[in-house]
Amino acid sequence: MARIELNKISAGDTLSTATSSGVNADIDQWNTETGSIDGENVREEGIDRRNLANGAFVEPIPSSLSGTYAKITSTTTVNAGNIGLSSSSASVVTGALIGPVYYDPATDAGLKINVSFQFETPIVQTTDSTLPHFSAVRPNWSVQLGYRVGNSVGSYGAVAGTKRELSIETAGCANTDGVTMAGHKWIDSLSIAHMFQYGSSGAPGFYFQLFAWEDGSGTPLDFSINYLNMFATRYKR
Amino acid sequence: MPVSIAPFVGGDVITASSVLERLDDMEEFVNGGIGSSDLKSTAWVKTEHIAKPEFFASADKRFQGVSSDIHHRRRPHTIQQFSLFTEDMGAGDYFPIPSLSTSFYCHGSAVLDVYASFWAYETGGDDTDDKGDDNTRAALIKLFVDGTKQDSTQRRVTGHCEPSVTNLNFLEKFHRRNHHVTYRHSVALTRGPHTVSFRIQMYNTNSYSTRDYAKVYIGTRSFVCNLQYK
Repeated sequence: MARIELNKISAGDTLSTATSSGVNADIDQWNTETGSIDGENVREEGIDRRNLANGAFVEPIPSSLSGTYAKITSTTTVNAGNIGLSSSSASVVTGALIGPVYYDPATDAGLKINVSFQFETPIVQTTDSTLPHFSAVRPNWSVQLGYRVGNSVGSYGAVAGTKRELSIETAGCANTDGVTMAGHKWIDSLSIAHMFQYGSSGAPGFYFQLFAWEDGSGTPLDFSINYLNMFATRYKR
Repeated sequence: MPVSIAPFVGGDVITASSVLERLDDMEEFVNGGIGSSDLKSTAWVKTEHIAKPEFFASADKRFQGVSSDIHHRRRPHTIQQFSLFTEDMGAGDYFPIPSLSTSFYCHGSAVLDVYASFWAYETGGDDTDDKGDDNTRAALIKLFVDGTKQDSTQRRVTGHCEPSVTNLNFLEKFHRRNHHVTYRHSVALTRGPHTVSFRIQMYNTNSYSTRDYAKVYIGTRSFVCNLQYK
């Protein structure tokens, strides 16, 4: 019994060493608390963040958060004219890789992936004198997350819903305008928030990689990611 | 740890010290001696046992829950609530941006995630360069955690364009951008006070550009700072 209710000892009572009554019965109540403390011993709202065990809701905080996040603090250039969600593809964004991240669809509520980055790509000169000026070669990039199970080198599966297309139709100024756009850049930022779904049970180590590729025709332009943050959070039920 | 209080046996003389010794054992147990092995292993925690979350809608807007705290700010799209930074605000100094900054008390080891978006643009500068040049740099914005800048969060505010060529008027607002930043701090925060803030560095005084920039607006913005304890 978790609730302790001490015997009331009155003057004139005979002290007994029996465990069924008297002072030893009180001591026995205390000794049997081990392994029995339950809701009867906890006041309403008596459990707060300091009482709950590590890992009850999200992945326990490890001594190092390495693997759950990735950062890019310098320029990472992608120059790819084709899509290829494999670790050897030219469309790999170097440094934008996290894993292993553990998630069990059978027991967990979800695995949230967050990505944000600043990118830049050239604005090119166009000879189109008609407004708006369309360039024959213009930035037309796609980015998408890929995933794989385990750390073996190979292909990634596309994470559905994470594809983002970046294009700018009026790419610059016509020569006839008397100004040049050579060397100018389109600088912007982008974020992706995604709740990852996976069909099979078990808690394998997932790896997530960001890819970027050029969809436009003609010579691919450089696409640079200057600053990136990417991380995963596992939510338990 | 399991509590173990010696029972009295027949023939014992009950003295004050023998009673106090047992009371001390009880006191030690209830005052911090209860461990996980003392709890019943079957499910018994109910909703009423858990402290309810608290919401604070005052100046320091925050949610304090059981396993996490969320500090949040937002500013609508009204120019009266834009923040303005001018070119003479120091050489290389970073200034906290209102509503993209918070300070808080962390109750224990916690993972820090930050989510933010903000609209930023420069206007009013010297526009002898009318190319809509995105190589120009009016300001840099970075996230700071406890006063240390996090380079992976850098966002650049580029100079605006006021073209002399009529056909290029569409470029004037081309450089007005909504920026996005999501960030996870690389180490768990420790118990105690912490500061998280996006800060801006005006760029006119350094070597990146010879162009003058008059002022940078930080407009519509959202800011969420999530502390995940367990």
